[in-house]
Amino acid sequence: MRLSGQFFFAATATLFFLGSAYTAQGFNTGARFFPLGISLFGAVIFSIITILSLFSERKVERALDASTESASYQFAFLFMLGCGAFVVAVYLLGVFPALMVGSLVFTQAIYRFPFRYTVLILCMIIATFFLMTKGLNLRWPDGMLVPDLTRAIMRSVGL
Amino acid sequence: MIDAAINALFIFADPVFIMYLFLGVVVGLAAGVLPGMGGLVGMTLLLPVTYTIDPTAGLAMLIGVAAVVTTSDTFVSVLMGVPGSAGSQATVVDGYPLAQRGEAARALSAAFAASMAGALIGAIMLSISLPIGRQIVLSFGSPELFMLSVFGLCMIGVLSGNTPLKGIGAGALGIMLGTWGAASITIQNRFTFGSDYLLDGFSIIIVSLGLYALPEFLDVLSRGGAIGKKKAELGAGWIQGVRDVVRHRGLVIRHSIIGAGVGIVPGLGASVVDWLNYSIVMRLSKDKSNFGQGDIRGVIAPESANNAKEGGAMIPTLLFGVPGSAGMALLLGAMTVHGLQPGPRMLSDNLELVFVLVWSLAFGGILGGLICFMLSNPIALITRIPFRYLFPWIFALVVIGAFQTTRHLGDLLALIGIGVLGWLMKRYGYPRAPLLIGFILSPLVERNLWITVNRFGMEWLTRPGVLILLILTISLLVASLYSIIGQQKTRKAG
Repeated sequence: MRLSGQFFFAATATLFFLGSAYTAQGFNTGARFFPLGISLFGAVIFSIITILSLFSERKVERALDASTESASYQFAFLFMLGCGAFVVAVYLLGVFPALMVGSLVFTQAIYRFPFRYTVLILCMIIATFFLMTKGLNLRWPDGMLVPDLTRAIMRSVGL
Repeated sequence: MIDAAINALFIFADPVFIMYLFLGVVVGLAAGVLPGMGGLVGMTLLLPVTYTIDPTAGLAMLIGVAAVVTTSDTFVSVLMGVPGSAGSQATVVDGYPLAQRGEAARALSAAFAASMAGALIGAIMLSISLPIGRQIVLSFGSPELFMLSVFGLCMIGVLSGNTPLKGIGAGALGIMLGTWGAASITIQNRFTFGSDYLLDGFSIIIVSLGLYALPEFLDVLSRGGAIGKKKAELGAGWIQGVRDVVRHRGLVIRHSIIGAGVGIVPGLGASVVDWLNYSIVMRLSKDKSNFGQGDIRGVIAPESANNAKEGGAMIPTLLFGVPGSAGMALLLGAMTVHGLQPGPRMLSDNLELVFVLVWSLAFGGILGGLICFMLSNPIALITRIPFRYLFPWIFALVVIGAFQTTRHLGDLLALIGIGVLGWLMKRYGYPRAPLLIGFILSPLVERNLWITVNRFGMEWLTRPGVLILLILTISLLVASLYSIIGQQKTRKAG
């Protein structure tokens, strides 16, 4: 018997479905029957997968819709941590300043690109951002730290 | 029906409409070449645009993306020897050796010409199937549609992965996530956990980008560098490639028909079509000695098939509301947002729109092939750019695409959460397509089940159509169970 990542993933999914089934019991009749049925079905399927994963090999066959090899856990953790930090930056600064700061950190602090590439990338992001904002007629929420920053930038370019 | 086809052609002739289709084709071509993108990410990024324009033009734009991704991903497969997407793996086997012999241009030219022919034949197959399918689908009621969705989902789950149980589990996870938010059939907020953000459930854009974009970014970035490491030369043979396709026209027609046929079956994705056609062309050829060493037939067969597949995949999507692939599931999602219901009503109320989509598929495929012919040099250059240089811009595109959904911070948190789920699924061999398709079909399945149970009680289980589909579903599940047992025995014996 082996407790692999596969086992923990399947076990977590089983718990998710069991939790969903429990929560669904509190819904009214019309809203309950479908999620309850699916939850129980999912719980059974993932329970079987959990049990099978105890006896299966550690190496997993790639799914048919995956064309690239998976990264290491460590890299994945750092990547997701970076994404989390980006969300915090959006919350504090607003989406446009966060994109600028995030790109600067990525290109200069992490990968140390030649400065001309950084400038080119920033220009591409600025162009894309304003094009999409204008095209989709969007109004972006402000950040917490500098409430008027995003709005001021938008106003300065006539958006 | 012919009137509708002609009227659709008039809509199609509108320059604004062609402009949107062109935009879709360009995005599709870029998505096929840029690392970490792929057709699904391209389609998802265009989804918000479709909400702001005429639904017909918006849907045609999405078809434009789907029609050409399998055309431009050939650049990567032939020039770098790395599959540009899951659907161009078999092209590498003979395309890359041709490029190494200095005949990359011949391989690309044959692939583009075969892709254009494939797209056209796929669209013709779709047109032919409409009058036949219309008779069947108009006899379907809610019980049959519900059972068909269940059958389709089981099929997608079983066929899209190496382990059927994982595929079915992924489908169940998708359906479950689709139930979050306000219930569609009664007044009840489900699984919102007191959060305002979850009242509307997850957006299709967030789920699609989270499942496909973030895991690919993470994996491609960890690998570093460009898609391929070697400097690729196009060489000569542009005319020769077209001549090859003309010489093997029978092959093109045969594999396009097979591709479209396979596309009809939900769950048989691009990679299955690709390898299936490669193995067929190899088995049916008298001279097999050159396969794997640069035989042009090994490029023509899979390329014509994977473009024709889209026409086939649109048949169950438009006729029955059961998407043939994850890309078609996104199209279905976009239709639902615009209040268009695929299935029986689509063929009676929106037949013109159906034909607009058929024309878009054919024209988009041809346009994509022509652009690839004309811009092959600059497109080939893009494949050499290391992903880390493109990542900040592509990430910005995804963030803007996701955050514009509600402009609530929850959009970004959900994107990361689903991204983690998508990466873990990829790592542990779970196919992600069933999750996306299950998520999109969830409200439809629930509504059909609700109507069925309330209107027919338990009698719906005795309807002939339901019984046939039920038997097919059970047979599929039993067959997959046997395959699991067979695999276990083989492993033990090995």
